[in-house]
Amino acid sequence: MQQNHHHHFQHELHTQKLQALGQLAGGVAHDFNNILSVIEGYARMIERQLGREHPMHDKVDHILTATKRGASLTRRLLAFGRQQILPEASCDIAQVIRDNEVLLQPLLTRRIHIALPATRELFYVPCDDDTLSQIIINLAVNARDAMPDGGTITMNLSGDADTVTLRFADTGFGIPPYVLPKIFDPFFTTKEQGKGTGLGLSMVSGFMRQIEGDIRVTSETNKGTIFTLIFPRAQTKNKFADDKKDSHTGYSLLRDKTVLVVDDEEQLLPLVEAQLQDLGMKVLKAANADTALILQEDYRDKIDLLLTDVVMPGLNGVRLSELLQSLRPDIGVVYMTGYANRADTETHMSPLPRDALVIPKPLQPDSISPALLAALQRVHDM
Amino acid sequence: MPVRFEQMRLLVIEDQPETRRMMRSMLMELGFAHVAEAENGRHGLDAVLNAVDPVDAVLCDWNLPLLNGVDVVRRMRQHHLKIPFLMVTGRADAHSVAEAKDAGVNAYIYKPFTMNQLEAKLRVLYCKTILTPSPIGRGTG
Repeated sequence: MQQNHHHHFQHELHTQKLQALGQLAGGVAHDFNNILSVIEGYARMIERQLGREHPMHDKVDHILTATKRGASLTRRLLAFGRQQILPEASCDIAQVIRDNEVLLQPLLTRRIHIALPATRELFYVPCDDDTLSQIIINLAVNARDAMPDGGTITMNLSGDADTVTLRFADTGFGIPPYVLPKIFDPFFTTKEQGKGTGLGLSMVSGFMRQIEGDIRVTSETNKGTIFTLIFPRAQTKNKFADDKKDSHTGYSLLRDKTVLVVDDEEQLLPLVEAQLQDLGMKVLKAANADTALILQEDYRDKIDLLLTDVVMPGLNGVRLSELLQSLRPDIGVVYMTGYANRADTETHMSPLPRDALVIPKPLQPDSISPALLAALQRVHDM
Repeated sequence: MPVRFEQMRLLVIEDQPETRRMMRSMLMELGFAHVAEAENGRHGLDAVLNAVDPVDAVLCDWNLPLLNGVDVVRRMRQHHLKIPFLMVTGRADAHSVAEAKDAGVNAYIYKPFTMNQLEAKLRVLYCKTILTPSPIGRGTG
């Protein structure tokens, strides 16, 4: 009884520690992401203005490569802190595993054999295929390092109406019992300095928590390790992803539309403006919600869309869109954020509407247009 | 600078008691702590002219006994009172809008209105007139 209680306490303490670390990591990553967005945005402008032939082109390219690496690091930190905005997507995990076989081979050695699930069944999970690939590669790299003399990686898939289970097993030297409780901690690594960031498995477990799935591990010395990943089952392919494909032809609908962009990161505004102007849109900018309200009051022509940050000092993006739409119900709304996910926003502010269109920062050209188009479509359908 | 409704002194001029009560409770819910009421244009104008603590903004119905909303704002401006004035009205025709604007109305809200619409209008009014008091300033003359 006493021991049980102690164990429970330890577990609770551990969970709290992870939550605190997650908040810290998420907070730092959020600010860092905004800084990166500015660097990346201006580097892209310079790259465009210099042209391919310019002697400085390569150097700008190096800056862009570095910002991509930085963005990838913040994504992992945000995933750990459960604050990443995930693309709304679903994919067939069986297909992703088959596709990854080619990617995995060069990572592994000839002495490592991969046994893939022999299934024709479709296992849709609420996850985009890039993230799923990263998860599989992370697990594979860990398995490889546990099998220096070769071995087998076996992946099995099973599922019921509500869940999909991926069982990922290796025949390596196993994880010592004293290490096992720490393997999902961020920055914990048994690898030599410089070989691993200690973020791989914490990213995987952070992601599984975020999609309300689970990850478990069992290990036996000199026999191997089994990771069991339990995903909630996605019933169908994602609608937004389908809309995205269909709407590629509809981008001309955005031309000459007026969009009101609101972000308290004032340096980001001109960057977003440039991206939207590239689509042929008219852009109004505001650095806070009240300025946005004044703009709509004074602007005589029609404002078609609101593209707003979510977490801002003063009035947040959700309240802004509620107030704006109360006066102009035909304004379509898209939220952009690098910070809050649906669960976390509830602690910061009023929650995002269930059907909100949310795009992650830094903004990617291929995520802006489909979201804006979907928002336009909604107000037209009203 | 953040919008701070709780420090503002509002005057609601409305002759229908139930509408007045509804506006008061909406304003209270929006965070306004000081809301005075007047049931006709004459009492409303007197309340503004004789206020011990200056009124920060007026919400006024158009159709009122004794003095209508346009008369109230016109007389306030004649007294060099630049207090922000939100006209509550069902009139959306161009002629009425122009008339009210000429008289010195700062903003409109059309009946019936929701809490969100009221908040949006008051925020804009606050930012335009109280945070940046030009060309219309706060309080008296």
